Amino acid sequence: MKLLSPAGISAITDVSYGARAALDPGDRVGLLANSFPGSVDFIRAVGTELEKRQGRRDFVFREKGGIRESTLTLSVGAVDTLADRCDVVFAAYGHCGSCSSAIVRDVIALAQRGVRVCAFVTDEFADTALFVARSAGMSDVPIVWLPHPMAARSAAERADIASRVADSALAAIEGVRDVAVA
Amino acid sequence: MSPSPEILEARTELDAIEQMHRAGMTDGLPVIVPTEDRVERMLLGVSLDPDVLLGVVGPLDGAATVEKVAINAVMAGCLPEHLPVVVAAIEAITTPAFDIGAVQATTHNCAPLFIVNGPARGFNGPIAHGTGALGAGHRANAAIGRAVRLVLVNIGGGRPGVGDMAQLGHPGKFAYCIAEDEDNDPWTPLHVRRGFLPESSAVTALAAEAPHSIRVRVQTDRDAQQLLRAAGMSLASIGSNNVQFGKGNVLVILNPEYAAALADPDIAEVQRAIYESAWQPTALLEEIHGDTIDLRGDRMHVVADPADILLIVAGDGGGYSAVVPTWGGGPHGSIAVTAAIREHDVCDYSGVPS
Repeated sequence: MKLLSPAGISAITDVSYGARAALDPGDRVGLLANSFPGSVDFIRAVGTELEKRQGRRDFVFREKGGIRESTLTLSVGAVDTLADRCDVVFAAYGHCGSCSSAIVRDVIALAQRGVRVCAFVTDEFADTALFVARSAGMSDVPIVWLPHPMAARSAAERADIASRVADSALAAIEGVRDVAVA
Repeated sequence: MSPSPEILEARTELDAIEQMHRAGMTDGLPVIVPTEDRVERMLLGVSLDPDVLLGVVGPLDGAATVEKVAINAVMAGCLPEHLPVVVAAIEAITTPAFDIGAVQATTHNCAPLFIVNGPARGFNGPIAHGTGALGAGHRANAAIGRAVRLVLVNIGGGRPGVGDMAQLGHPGKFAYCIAEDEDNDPWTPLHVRRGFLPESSAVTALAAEAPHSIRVRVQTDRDAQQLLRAAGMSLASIGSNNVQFGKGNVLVILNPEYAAALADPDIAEVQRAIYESAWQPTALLEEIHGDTIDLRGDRMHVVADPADILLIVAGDGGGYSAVVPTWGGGPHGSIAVTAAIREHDVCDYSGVPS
């Protein structure tokens, strides 16, 4: 017998992130925190790790504004502004279903504007993050996995994790896949 | 019929069902196999071309065409006369303000609840509003709700652990559909309050938790006021998202006896009375939740404004009514969205093989 597929068809075409340049000391770097608890500590710690590796720099820091906003994607205007001001953006973190979805969509929107990106998502939400990346049209967008949970840890523990994932994040913005969980 | 759907093949009906289970195309229960004949017949329930796009369903962002929705409605066990309600429900949840992609992806347990108003409650069902209306045994409620769930799975990618990250979920994720008891509603029906004409039909969608029972002895005017207090306090459960986020809509379902007992049926006063009890002190929230929520003022109400408390009448007379907390998250704060049900002279499909 023949039956009709109930599956939906997406009109979105997947565009690869591809291979992009390594972080240069002259690059303007953005640190995006989605305001999930601990995300500000963590992304600032990532910035500290980058400075250890490449020297001091002035970061463009942006925070979404509160936990309620962590589930929101950036507005088109906010993405445009970040893209104008940054060559590279690190974004943290996906820690729940809707905030993982939002942060992956944020970095894809930035990557589509030519910004080199890396999203941090906890391993608990890896399947969701990869699914959203496929849905949003960039299945290979750089994501580095963090141990779940991050929010319940101390600032010192988050800083330690940042030190362990910094090299992976630097590799990720170049389009290097399969980076390890911290 | 447009040539867009992929054609799948199976040796027998049972093989087809198993194949669809394996492909993740079901809700875990057996489905009616969507053969071309069955889908053709289902499409007679609406006067829309099969390739009309009703909306895009996140997080997969799949295209919900009339034809794809009809295929899922067949699988759910719908009759053609149920399809206009399913179509309206899909239009409601794919309205951008509903944030369906985030509703599906959240770890919260919410599921879209559908409240049907207007004449469609009868001739597109009947869709139950009385005894056990949110339980099992009501064909239209079950089939319509299930059809939407299958659309969320197959077009929206809402499979548990991937597109649907609800950490526990609730049984409303199988089907969650009810009509309002408009005959016992002391106010105008919900859809009229939301801007539709009384003679029209509409479906209101809300990303909702399971209903929570409330029981209050209601014999006097004073008791009726206690009922509203109890509803508010029940909505403001200390662990609920609503009292932590304070935005979007919540729902109170009064049974007909409770509704009749309200001495002052002015709806704004009723909403105000519920609102005034639907809060927690900021200090207690901070004690319980620490810095994980954004606290404002000395108390957090479950919604920003009394008018954000939706009220309907449903269920049987007696001691129990219900409150329905909601997700409360997302870009639009988990607000209700109402869409019109297109009325038309349904085709006579009695001679079309089922």
